[in-house]
Amino acid sequence: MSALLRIALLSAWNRRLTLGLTVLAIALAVALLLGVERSRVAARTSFAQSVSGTDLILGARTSPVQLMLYSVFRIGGATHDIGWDSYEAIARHPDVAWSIPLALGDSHRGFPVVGTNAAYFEHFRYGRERKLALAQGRPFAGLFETVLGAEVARRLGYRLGDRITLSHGSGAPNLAEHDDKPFTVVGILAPTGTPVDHSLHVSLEAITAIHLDWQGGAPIPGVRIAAAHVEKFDLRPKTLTAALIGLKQRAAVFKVQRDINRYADEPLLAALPGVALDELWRVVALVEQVLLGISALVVAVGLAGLVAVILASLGERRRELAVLRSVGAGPRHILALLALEGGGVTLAGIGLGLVGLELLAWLAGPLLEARLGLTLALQGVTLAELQRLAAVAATGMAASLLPAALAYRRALGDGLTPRL
Amino acid sequence: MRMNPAFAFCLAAALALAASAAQAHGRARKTGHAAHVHGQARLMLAVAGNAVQIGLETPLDNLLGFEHAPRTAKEKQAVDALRARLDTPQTLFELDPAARCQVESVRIAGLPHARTAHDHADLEADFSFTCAQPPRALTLQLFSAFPRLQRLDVEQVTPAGQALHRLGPGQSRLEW
Repeated sequence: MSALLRIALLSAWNRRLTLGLTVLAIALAVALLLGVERSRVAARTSFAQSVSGTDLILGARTSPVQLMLYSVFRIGGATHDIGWDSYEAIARHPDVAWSIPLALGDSHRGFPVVGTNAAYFEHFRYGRERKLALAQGRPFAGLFETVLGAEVARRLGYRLGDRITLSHGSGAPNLAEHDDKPFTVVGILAPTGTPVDHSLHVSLEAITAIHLDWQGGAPIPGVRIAAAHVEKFDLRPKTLTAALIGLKQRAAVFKVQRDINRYADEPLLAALPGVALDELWRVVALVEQVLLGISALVVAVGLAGLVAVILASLGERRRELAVLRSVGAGPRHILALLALEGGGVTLAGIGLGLVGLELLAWLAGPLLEARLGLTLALQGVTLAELQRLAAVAATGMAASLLPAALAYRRALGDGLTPRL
Repeated sequence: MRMNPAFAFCLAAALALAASAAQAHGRARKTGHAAHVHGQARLMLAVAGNAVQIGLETPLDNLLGFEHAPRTAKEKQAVDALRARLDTPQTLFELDPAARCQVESVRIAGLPHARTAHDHADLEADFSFTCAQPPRALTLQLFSAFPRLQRLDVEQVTPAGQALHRLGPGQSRLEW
């Protein structure tokens, strides 16, 4: 057996280029197969981390998924705001422990601006009951002060004391600027891996203040209210985009939800963020299945390539195999030789794929975590992955039996008698 | 003009009905119209420590096969049987036996009675249980008890967090 292995290895070394490329193809296919699944899990964990501390999201009546996406993940926009008085009434509900008001819609160089109050720094929780922490500075106290998310500060290179202006609206590059009322950076939050990192936080009063001399989405011509004078106006917000709610008793969530949904003065919606998230995943599940199907097909292509390479090599190895037969190797030795080669290449491909994937996670992990909040943890191989890898290995070995069987059937004389 | 007394009575009754319907509709306008899809129901499961609360919202059709006031003796019987079934929630919701759970209270709203006059009617029921130990699993007997029920959206809030499960007949176990 060891002699056979030696022959197989030496013969493979002789054809190292083609076999090496085949190993690479299988490695890439395996990395894709596992990578798709790992990023799916990472995305789910990361999204769940962002909502885990909130019991209910309060907003205008819309789809719960929509409300969750725009209030927590700042994806898409609200069709309606809610009245401040409704918010206050809900916040006074006996079962509500805390609430964080959110006024969204403005942006700064593509990053969303969140109008909120001190409750945000006190009550917001993510992951496993983790609180927001300030890496530098303090929460906003004055009107034109802002606290930056970690990623905003990092990518735009802002430091404490910098002055920035907000844009009206979000998305498009040529937005109207609130350039008469600049904000001072007073705090920078520690990284959280949630959408908080990508947000700028200002007070609700500041949101009202920068829109004082605005009407219909643009400054009113001829009317300028200087930053120094805005304090004379009533800056209490009239509307909100949404609010995050924490309860005294988590089990009371359905009761509070029912009370909010039946609130008589304004159509409101209370969404359970974890439930809305699961609803979103159910929609996305089809796409995930397609991705998984595609990566399985890529594995099949890789293994087909393996079979093709070994089959093609049979022609070029006719002499080699015939010589082996003539020195006493039986057909089963030839069979074993070729099956060994196919299995070896498959296993090498799987191994290389795994190493490559871990290497990629190690290299690109910090970047993904910063940009997308995805944590691709360096993890051991899970049981589900092991099952998939075993399936790939079994398929690879079974497939390489095809060329082996062909060689097995070839007559002894084949390859020794020159064909004319 | 002299009005036939019977006609006058009918007219008055019709006006009163219309007024009450308008009032009911006005209320619905303010609080909105909940979705009403036969075959589907919503189950809310909240577990905190030793307390379990279960809320069920379903079109009556899923439980009875009709949503109007019971007219025949058979329909009356069906309503009575449903009430009896809902009053013993431990037969519908089997919490894991190790937790030793007891029914604490049952609140049922929306069972049809002689004066119900809706096209569509929903049943809302709240059940609470107290257990000796925190339960870890729940087996539902809703699909076997109510064959017209085809889909159940379970929203659960447990120590493991919030989650949504969509169950069909044959899926009856929830774990957390």
